[in-house]
Amino acid sequence: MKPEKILSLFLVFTLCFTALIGCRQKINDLPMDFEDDGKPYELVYYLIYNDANPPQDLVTVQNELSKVLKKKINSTIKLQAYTLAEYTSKLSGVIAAGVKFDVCFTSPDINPYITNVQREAFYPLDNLLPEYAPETWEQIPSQIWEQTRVNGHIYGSVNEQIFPRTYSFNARSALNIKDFLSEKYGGVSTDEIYTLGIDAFAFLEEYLGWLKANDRGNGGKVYYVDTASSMLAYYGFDDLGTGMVTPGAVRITDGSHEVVNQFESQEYKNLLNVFYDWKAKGYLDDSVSSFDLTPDSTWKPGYLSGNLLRLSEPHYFTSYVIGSMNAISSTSGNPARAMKFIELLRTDEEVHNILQFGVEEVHYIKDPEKPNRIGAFLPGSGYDNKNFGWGLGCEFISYLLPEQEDNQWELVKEINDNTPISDIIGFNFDASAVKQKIADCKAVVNEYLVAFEKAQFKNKDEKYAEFINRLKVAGADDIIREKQRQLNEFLAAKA
Amino acid sequence: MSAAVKRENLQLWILCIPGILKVLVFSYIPFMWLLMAFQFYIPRRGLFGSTWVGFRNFEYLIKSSVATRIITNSIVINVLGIVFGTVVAVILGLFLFEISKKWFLKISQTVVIFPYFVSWPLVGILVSAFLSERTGMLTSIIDLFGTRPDFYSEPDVWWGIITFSNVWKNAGLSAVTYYAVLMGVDRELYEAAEIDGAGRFGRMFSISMPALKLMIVLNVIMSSANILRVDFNMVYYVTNNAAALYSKTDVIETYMFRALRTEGDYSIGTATGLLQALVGFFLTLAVNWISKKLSEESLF
Amino acid sequence: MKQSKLNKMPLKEGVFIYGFIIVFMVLVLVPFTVLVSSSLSSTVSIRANGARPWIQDFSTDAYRIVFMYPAEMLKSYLVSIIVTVAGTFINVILVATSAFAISRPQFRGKRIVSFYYSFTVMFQAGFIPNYIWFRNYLNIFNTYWVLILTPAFMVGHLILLRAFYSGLPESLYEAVKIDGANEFTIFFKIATPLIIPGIATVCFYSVLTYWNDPFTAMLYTDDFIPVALYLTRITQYIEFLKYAQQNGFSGVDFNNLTIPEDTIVYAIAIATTAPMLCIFVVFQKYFVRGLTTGAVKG
Repeated sequence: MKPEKILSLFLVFTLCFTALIGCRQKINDLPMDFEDDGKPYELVYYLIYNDANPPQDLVTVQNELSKVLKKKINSTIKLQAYTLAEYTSKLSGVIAAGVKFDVCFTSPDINPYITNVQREAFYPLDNLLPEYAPETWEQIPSQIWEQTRVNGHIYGSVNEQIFPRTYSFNARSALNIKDFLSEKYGGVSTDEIYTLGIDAFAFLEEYLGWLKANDRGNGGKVYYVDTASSMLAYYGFDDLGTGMVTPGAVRITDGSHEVVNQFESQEYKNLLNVFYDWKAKGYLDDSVSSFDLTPDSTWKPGYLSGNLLRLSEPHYFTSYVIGSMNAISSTSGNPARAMKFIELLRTDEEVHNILQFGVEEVHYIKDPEKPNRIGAFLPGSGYDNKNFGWGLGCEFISYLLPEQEDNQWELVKEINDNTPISDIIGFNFDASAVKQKIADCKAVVNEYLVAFEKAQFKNKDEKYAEFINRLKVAGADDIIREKQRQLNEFLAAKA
Repeated sequence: MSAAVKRENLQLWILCIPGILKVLVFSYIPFMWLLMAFQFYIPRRGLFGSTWVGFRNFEYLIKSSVATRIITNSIVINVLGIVFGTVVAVILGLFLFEISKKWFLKISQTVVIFPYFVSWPLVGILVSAFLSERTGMLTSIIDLFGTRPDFYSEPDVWWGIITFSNVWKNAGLSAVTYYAVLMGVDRELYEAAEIDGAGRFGRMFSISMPALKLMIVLNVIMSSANILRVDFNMVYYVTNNAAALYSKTDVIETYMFRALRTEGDYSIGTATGLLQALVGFFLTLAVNWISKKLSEESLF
Repeated sequence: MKQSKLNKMPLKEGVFIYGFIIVFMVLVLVPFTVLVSSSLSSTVSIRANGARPWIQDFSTDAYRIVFMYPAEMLKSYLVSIIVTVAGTFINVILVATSAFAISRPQFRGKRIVSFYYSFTVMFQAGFIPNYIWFRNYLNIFNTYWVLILTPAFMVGHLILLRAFYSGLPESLYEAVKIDGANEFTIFFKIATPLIIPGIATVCFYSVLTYWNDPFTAMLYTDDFIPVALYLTRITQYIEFLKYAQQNGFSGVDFNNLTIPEDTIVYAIAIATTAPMLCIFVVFQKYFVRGLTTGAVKG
């Protein structure tokens, strides 16, 4: 037989096989209404977990949670934990292969929300939410629900945490910063630097200079400012939900609705100058893994705020209000049950805290005096997701950590309630018209951004001109025009 | 056909079954999903429920800057690898053949193929031991002369670094292969040339090179068939997958990898793969034809 | 041998030829020297001066940290060993059976089967189709099977073994055929034992391929970390160590060691690659011998 013949035989075979698999199922559009049959069901939940210490003892937690859920919603649960760093890639594979699961975490950048909605990975929750998660539906402000809508439908259940974000540097592991504060500022906390009206960049410069002068390098360990993650809002912009690496953002400071290229702004140039200045003075250093000062958007009153160096007032950003959501997979066998589970994650202390802290007496012990407070974590227990309450459902029902104030969550709620919701909340950019240009711009930005913000280019000005120019070639202006057009439409419809 | 031949054939077919099945399941059946390249693939709708978009994914690829970038990088990295790899390996092979000290030959053979035994992630670590901004040996030495370079934010040097790593890892092995071929050459040819007064380098050109010619040519054209296929591990680990270097180091494989893992564009990733496979297929046919002409022997 | 028959090398040529080889050898060896010496230096000196091919301020901290909590690394070794042994075994069986069949002149399916195999080298579906097929239909995602079977049946090995089998004279089989032996007997009892050097070479190649393959595990599994992949997870490992140091971790006692962040990577690299490298070097003569035969035959 000739190879050509074989090839055609092979093609025929392939087509038949494809047809077999293809004909097996008839696919409809995503439905919106679901019934819960009340029968026992095993939920599969992809838990988001901290990077440092992947869980060794997930099984105990899974069994305990199954017991609790059995009573509450007649379900058992199968947990799969992925760390924050690998969550996107793992879920991308899970979704590509159409693996059956029920609930996962999603946000604009981690397990990207819009991308997943477009590939029909999630069920619309418009009817599920009011029916099976009434408390969630009531408690989240309606403007925030607006922000989750894609083509008119809600696909993610918003997790309650601090909604308005405050830009800050996280100085938790900054070397000897306490010594510095007591030496120069009479022992105030980093948090108070902002309230005292001291400019954070000036403060940091002084601190870095002090570190260098006093050679507090801790045996060769470097001080390092990680300038390259989620920096966009440092120069005071809202990225309109497309992420910081896409050009086109709105200034938050002046209440204008003009979409500009944030990389061309004076704010960005100033920022680069600061970093290059620090680099020249020897304050910035690369490192394998240790970031001593990290940009952080999680400032909230009370909790660990003594480690954050604030740069701004809290503000509602389009991407951060939906920064943590739970979604129901379109492969779920019982979406109504999954919705009930999400409601429990948000409202049920027991369920929420098992996932956050593990099982009492096995992974932690409670404070004997106060019922909703952790006494101590048992070392080496194999489960500890303590800083990830925000990724579960509702941070406000987390047990308090030993170092937290009693009124921790009241303080946060106050900020949520008292910060005015900015008028572009609810605007969703439809990127389909400029998809390819966004990809091109992202490629350009990715090539330059980190090097710029770590002050790595030797010929900064030349590279900067080249960068802006290549962004223009890649179609940055078209993206900005499209964003502006849609934003104007949104505002007009609202008015 | 006699009954005996028939029976023999049946038995031989049975011997082939494990291999045929394995290849069917792991290589042929996945071809089906290449249809994704012509769709906007939606996992829950599967191959037949997803929307057909014709050649739009290919159009997207060609219009965006991505295609040019990954194809250029793949070709350049491969061409550099073939050229330098072959030159170094041939010279090394020829020279090894001239070595008369047995102990030296033994040691040098062992040493030159040593890098072939290590994994690409380890090569990546070795590269960073030389080039990392923080503690790299080369970085710190250049620093002594005034400026501290940062290789991991300078895309332009990476074609060179990847090629160097490629040659470093693989040339020794090819050299030993060439050496082995030379060992099979008739001794008397060399003696005759020596009597004719040919020098050592003269003999290399007049006897050794012709002996290697066919093999070199075959190796080169076979690698040319894979001009769009780059060793994923090489590029991914040697560059540490640094995004700042993508303009010179992003190749088809790494792009597909990201399409599956981070950007979620399954269809576009598959379209890239299909394009690569088609080019590879026709190049291989061409190469097979050429090698038939050259060596009167088909490769398959 | 050849040396005695050729004239002595003149000095100038000698310098050139030996020089070239020595330079190449130095380029090969220096990186390994840097690796070893850095792993034995203190992180402070590496930080201050950069890596060097000699030991600076001798310290074994990096190794002490690595062997303080070796559980993860040992698990990786176990995965690698299982996958390599099983994979090599399966690969050799698959390749040898087919190679024998297509080496037989009277086999009428010779051409078609050869083409069937070669086609997979020319035309590949790529890993996105593979991923969906493996995970959703074959259900071998995150199992040993995917690690063992995916790389198996390497076509290069098929060509090599076919050359070995073709080299055996048909007359060998005539006698047993008269006794009524079938092709299976010929394959197992006569042909294969005669090409043990070829089989050894293929084994060596497969061991090398399986051992040094981080990609299959990275793409097709969640929980399997063979040593080749373990190497790439040093950053995570350091994060873990820091966490353990701050919060305590049963079985890990730091004894006030600071984590040598700049040298630990080298210590892990050596701990995970040195044993296997030694084995490769010991057995490399089979490799070279097979290569020689393969080159001459192919």
